[in-house]
Amino acid sequence: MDERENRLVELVLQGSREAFEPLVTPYRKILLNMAYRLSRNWEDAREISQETMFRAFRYLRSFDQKRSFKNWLLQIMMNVWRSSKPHLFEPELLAELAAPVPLGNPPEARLQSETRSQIMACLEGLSPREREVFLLRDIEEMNVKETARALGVSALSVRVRLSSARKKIRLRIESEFPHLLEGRR
Amino acid sequence: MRKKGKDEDFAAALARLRAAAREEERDWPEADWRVLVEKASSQRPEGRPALPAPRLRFAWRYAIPAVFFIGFAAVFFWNIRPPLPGPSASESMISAPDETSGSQDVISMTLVSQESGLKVHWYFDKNFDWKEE
Repeated sequence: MDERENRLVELVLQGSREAFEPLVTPYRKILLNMAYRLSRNWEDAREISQETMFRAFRYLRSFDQKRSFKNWLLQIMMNVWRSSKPHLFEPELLAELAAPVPLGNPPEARLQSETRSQIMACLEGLSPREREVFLLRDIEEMNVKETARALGVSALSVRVRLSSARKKIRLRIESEFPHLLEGRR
Repeated sequence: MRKKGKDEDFAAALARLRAAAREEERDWPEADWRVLVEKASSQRPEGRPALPAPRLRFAWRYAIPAVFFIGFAAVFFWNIRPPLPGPSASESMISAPDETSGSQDVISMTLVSQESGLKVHWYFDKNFDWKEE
């Protein structure tokens, strides 16, 4: 709960549209990058962020001011992301995506991976659901309860997915980015 | 002991990964952001929630067909309900005037008691003088 944000929310709800910009601007970078890590595509990331902003304004009246505004925006973003790519959440595809990815990449793939960011490389091999949980919990540092709320799942489900995601990330770090374990970036 | 050490190493690696992720983040071009905020805030605010939670949507997917099914079943079983014991409703009602006689001079009326099944036939002639059987 942030006093400044709540005041801005009140102003927007009273009809002051100018108050919307200072309300959402602090989160524009977080939202864009979260959308990119989910969709792995800047074009889609911009669209997802845009739709998130649209919905945030349209449904601002339903925002519970006891909650964190940032977490509410992330929750909207998760809904936008899921509704924009519903095929990614089909059970068959989920099982396929959740399957372990071989760690030994062929040379050309490895060359390509060197130009990719570390975080994006680590996210490869995670299913969409594992990726969501890992990003919210371990990158955005939301607590389990807020993560569960943002994703519309139980806390237990968050723990299970997080554990599975961390196992895969650990293997990826050990094989591709051991320097992260050694204390170098 | 060794496992604890590994967990600590992994936690540290995650923290470094997080820091590296922050460093490579991109931002919106200022002009694009202004256009986006302008567009977003030119909408009409609504009171409904942004989106039903996925679990709620999942529940609706099953709840709506279930309500239809229960409604259909209720109507179906209501219609095939077995008749109550005793004389039927139609029998207990006053019968219509007998039009087969071809004359309106004499009008008949049959009353049936639901408890005993006793039938009383009344006939009225054109002067409305009643006769009893």
